[in-house]
Amino acid sequence: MRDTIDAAFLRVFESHAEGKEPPALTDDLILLESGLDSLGFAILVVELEEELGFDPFTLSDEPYYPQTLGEFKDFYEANTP
Amino acid sequence: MKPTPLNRLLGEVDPSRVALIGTGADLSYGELSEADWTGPAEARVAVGSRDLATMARALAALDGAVTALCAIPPQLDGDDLNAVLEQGEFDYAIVDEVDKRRSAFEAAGAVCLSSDEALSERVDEAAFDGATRWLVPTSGTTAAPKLVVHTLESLARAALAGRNPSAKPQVWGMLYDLTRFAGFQVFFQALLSGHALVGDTPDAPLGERLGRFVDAGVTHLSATPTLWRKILMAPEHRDLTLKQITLGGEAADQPTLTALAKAFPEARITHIFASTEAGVGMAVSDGRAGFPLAYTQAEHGGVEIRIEDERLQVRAVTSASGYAGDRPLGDAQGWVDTGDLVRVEGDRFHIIGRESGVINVGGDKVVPDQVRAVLLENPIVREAVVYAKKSSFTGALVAADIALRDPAMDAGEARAAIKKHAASRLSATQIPRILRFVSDIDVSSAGKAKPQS
Repeated sequence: MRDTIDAAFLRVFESHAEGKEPPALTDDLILLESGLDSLGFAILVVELEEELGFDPFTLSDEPYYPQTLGEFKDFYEANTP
Repeated sequence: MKPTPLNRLLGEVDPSRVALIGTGADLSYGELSEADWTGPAEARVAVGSRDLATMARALAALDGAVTALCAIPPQLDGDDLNAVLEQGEFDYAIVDEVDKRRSAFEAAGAVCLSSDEALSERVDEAAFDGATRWLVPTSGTTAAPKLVVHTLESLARAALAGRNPSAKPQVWGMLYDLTRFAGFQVFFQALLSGHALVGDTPDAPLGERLGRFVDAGVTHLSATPTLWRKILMAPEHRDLTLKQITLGGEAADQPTLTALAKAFPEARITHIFASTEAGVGMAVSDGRAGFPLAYTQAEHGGVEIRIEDERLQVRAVTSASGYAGDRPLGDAQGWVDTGDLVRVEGDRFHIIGRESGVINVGGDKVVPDQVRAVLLENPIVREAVVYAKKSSFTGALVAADIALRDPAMDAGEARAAIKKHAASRLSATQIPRILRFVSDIDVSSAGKAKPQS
């Protein structure tokens, strides 16, 4: 799961943030400083939904805004149906 | 002065001419215009039959005979029907014996009558001495339908202006629901000039419906661009000998106009913009998408047009006077905001979509029809519908259902080709991020493409 997210992140980064150097995908990477904007994250979530078959952000009743890549991945793992 | 009622206008046509060609026996102009309303003049009457001939006879009899009438769309039911009944405050409803909606009409306080009970042979003179109000339901795709108040004069303005009861008979096909604004236009254009109108069987397959039009010798046909594209895919279209093609209800795109010109070289092709609120807007027959910018500089067929903040505004001498319940329409000068967004390109302006349908992607407004038009440019795409998908990050993302021209095409290849084309023509927020391949796109009763649920 965590590797799937890394791979998807890099794919979206490459197509969406053209020309920029991708960040190191550590758990403490601050999402807002990763180089992806909100449209990029929206696309990432949609791509992951294609691959994993679920979107934890719409499944969860509480609105949740992860700050780091680690929290983002934890949220996916915690909300796997 | 009391305007001439509809059945008197229809009575000016040679009574032996064929007026309606339905699934049953043909109805002549004599038969169409001879019926009169048997009830009281101070009445608000709903008409909700599935039979075109019954609808036509009832509308002809009621105009000029009652205070208000309303043709109820055949598929209107549930909350939408109740909303219309509440706004309309009907005293009577002319409905088919078998109609399951009778109880809803009765619960709303209307007395249900069969057409035999409601209509009789000509009586002397209608007792009502004003102009009957025609209540026309809006399509209500995003909210409950509203009843827009018209008169025969405002609803049939274009048809009355070009009326010629002794014109050489033509044969018109009815692909629209009669009870909607577009359906009324076809209905009046055909019948006020003594033409024959061929009823539709909307539940039958399109090929079969076109076959009936071929058999009846239809020469005049009006439909939405979405429906025209489907017509072009039905082999039966080759047997139609059309002289007049009209596109309305959605913006007509260039590929569709070009394809129609190729398939029907003998036909004049007209695309129109109309809105229920403003009365008929404008029409152009030069085969190019969009409308001449010159239309904004002069009155055009009794209608003035202006573009304000990229929105189309219309002012017509015969605008609808208001919604039932009398909320005002338009500003002090009579300008009505159509809610349609406009893009100017060279000497043309294009209606790019409804403001109400706008998808807000992280603050960027995306017009679905504009995205759809780009998807349809791609030759592998047969039909597309664009809609919003909720996103926790941007509020919404653009999603599209796509029917491929070749259903056997590899989905991965198709996806890549569509994304590449979209990326070359659209901004990042406009590109559909969710693509679903479907075997067919459902076309709503108004003839407009809609997403699968």
